[in-house]
Amino acid sequence: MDRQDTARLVERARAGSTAAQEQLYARCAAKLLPLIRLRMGPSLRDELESRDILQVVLLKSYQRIGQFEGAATGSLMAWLARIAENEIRDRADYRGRQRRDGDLRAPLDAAAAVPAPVRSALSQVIVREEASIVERALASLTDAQREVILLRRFEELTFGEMAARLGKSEDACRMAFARAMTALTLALNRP
Amino acid sequence: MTDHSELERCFAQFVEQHVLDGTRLPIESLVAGRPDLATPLRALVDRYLDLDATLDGGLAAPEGRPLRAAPTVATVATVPEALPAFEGFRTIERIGAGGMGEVYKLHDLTLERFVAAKVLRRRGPSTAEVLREARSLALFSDRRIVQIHEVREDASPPVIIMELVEGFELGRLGPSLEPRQRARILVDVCDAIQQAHDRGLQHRDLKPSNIMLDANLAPKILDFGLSDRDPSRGHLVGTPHYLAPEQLDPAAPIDARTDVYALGVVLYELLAGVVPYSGATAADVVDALRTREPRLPVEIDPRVPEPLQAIALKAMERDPAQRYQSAREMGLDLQRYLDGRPVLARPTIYASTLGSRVAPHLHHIDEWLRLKLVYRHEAERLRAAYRELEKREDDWIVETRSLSYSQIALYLGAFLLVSGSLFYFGADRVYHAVRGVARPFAVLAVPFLCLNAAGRYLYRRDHKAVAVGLLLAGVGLLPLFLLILFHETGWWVVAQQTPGQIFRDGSVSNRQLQITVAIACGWSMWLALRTRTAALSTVAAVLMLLLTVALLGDAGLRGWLVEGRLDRLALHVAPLAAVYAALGAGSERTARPWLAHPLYLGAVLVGVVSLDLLALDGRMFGYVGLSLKPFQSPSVSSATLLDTCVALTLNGVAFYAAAAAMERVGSDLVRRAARMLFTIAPFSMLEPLGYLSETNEYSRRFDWLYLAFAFAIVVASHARQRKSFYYAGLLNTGIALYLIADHRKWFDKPAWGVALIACGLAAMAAGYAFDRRARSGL
Repeated sequence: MDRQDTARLVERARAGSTAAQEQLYARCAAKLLPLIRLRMGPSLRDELESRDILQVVLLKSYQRIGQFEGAATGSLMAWLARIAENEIRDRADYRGRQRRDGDLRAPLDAAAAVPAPVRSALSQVIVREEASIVERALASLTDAQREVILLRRFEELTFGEMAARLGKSEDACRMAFARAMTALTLALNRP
Repeated sequence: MTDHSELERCFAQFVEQHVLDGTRLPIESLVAGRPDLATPLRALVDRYLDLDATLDGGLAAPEGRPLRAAPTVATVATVPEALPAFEGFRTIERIGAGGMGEVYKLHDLTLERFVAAKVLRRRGPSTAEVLREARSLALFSDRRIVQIHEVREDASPPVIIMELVEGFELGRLGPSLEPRQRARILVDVCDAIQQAHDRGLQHRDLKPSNIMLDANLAPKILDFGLSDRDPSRGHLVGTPHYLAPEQLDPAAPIDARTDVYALGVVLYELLAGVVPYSGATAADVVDALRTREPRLPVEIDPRVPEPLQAIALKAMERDPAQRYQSAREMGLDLQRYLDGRPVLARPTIYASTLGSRVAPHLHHIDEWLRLKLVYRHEAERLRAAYRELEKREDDWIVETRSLSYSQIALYLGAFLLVSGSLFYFGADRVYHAVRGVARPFAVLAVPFLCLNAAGRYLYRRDHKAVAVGLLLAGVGLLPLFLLILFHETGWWVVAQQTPGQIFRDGSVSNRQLQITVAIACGWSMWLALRTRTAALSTVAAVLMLLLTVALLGDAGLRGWLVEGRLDRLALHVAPLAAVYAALGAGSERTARPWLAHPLYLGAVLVGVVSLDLLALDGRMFGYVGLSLKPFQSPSVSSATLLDTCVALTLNGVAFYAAAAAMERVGSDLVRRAARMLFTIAPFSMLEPLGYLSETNEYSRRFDWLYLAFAFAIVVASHARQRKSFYYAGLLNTGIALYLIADHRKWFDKPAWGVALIACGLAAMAAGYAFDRRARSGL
């Protein structure tokens, strides 16, 4: 399915296909951006900052792609989500510090040369009106429901991996996902 | 429950199924009781599916493309090969690949609808054939067969544009359906296939994945006439599970019944959940198809309804002639199941499965006999019980495994028909002379022809029991009609009082009788050979006897009967026993047991009757130059009394010896005839004593002797374990007791009865004593 599609793209990107690399980043970016924003929570949410984080994550992943192969998870999206989570946490910590010592963080663009695929992905990815509706609906769900959908559809985990992560049975995860999707659709359907 | 929560409940159910199983429940089934909810539910489901697709691509999208297209974009992005372009259409995606080429989903830009395009992989003779069929299929519309819109033959490669079918494959949905639903789908499929067959179109690659079901479970057949026709190529590398045996043999013709076979396999798989012939490789599957019998679906899943199993197996017969001859026939049989009527299918695999499973049991019986675990007569009884299982359902009424109302009615009808024609014959022939052949023709010949035509038709359609019943009735009408015909046309007519004729009144001449019986005999024998049934061969055997009697008319039969020369009749009929025996042996050698059995029984009966007639006549010893008259008391009035008695006794012994010999060396069928002879023998042995007592010659003490012999036979029956002896002894004991009382006028004396009661009580006391001893002996 989608995860296999990603895996196939990774395979071809590794084999040296530029087109595949671009597609891969475009694809990941389209999923990462809402993931980052939803994970950041309302206080940190900010269009500019989320794109910043996205850029950092993509850059880091570009540099450390070797680590992905050694990672326990088979899902590239899950791996990217880990990087994004660390980045969000770092920033939250940094904000706390910032309040104390008033230092400003240097803009990322200036810090490193952005590789072509990442730049292309960043320039292409936009959030459309429709998508923001879905995002708002996702935000309106309970934390547990939202998390199930994020793990399944954005991090592209299998139900088995979700079960391990959440400490539930696989079937319970399936049911929870089905209920969350029901709730999301109903939330979208409400005027 | 409010509308709102009911709607949410239905929707939750849909999502659950979609997540857990990956299948989409039909909207109609979800809102079964609430049709008003269908529209809002459909809106919810559409939104859900939209959302699902949106999440596939993430919530952000590259600029300039609508979000809705996100899944398509993702699919296209991951499929490296470029999609082919078709003039007038926008190519959406590739939806599959089959034996003949790849299939794409297209959007028709002018008609604003989605269609499918099949791109043929190569150009060759088979491609030309496929295109020709596609063109003819395009002219033919059936809602259950995927519609061909257009054939682009000139394109390179050629393209067939057809209806886009969305739904579920029968193979995937089948397991969740009720047996009746499965049957109903198959009825529809059979009907559609028949529609195509009627137009000369065959599918030749039917399988569950080629049958799609929509939300209402209405089937739609894909790939009609689009499969590779060359059995040596495409079929064998594809799915060999649905190949018919004749598709493996290049010499065998392939016709509509090949599709019937595939329908059978589809039904089998729907019932059993597995394909009938399986194997790790295609070669294994083909090998299994050639050499093995499939397991019965009931053995795999006990809930499978037997009638459906029979239908599947009948359609899957190896020999196309044994299958349903058309998809329509199969559909009608399935409909019979749905209507709760008994189905007609009686697959041959039942008999062969039974046969192959009975064989080890018969082997066990031989083993038990060898180890002396069972007596010989018990082994025989067990074998006979197993033989019953091998009998055909549609055989003669006395041979069949179970009686059915249809058989009872048929044979009753045939009997009434023949009886009625006999009355008609008697009435018209004797009392009012027939004028012309018109009336007999209408009453006898037309029914004869109709019965035979109907019998022939039904026999071909596999209604054998009915067919044989009709043919049998026809055989009954034939001789009567011939006799009238000969009489009215004046052929072989003789004057009254002509010497040497069986009938003195000149109504039927010897020659007329002989020719009539010969024709009827030949006709019934021919029918017996064609239908392989015991009923008609029995009739043929009886007619052979009649023919012999008719032929004896020329040798002076009437004279013998008038003079009481039974010995002559007996001597002339006796050779027929040898003829029967020889013919029986011949037909048994040529594997025609249904013919051999009546012939053997005929040989035994004719032999017994002619020998007993000879003995009763008293001249038996005269033929070999002997007479026991000197040993007879001069007071005896009948000169041949002793001859008769000794001859009858010798007959009895001879019958017993012959039966024993037949049982020892004879085949299975001969042993069955021997059993009848064993039953006759003890009666024959006791006959002379009864005869003596009856004639009241010699001393009156013979009746006591008779009683003693009968009693002795009762007791002696234990030695050889012959129940026939026991019953013969009991019966003759009764006759002897009657004769004794009769001769001495003891019917008035209560003492006789009291004495018998006392004897009976004594015998029963002895029985009790034996029982006690047997128990204490243990």
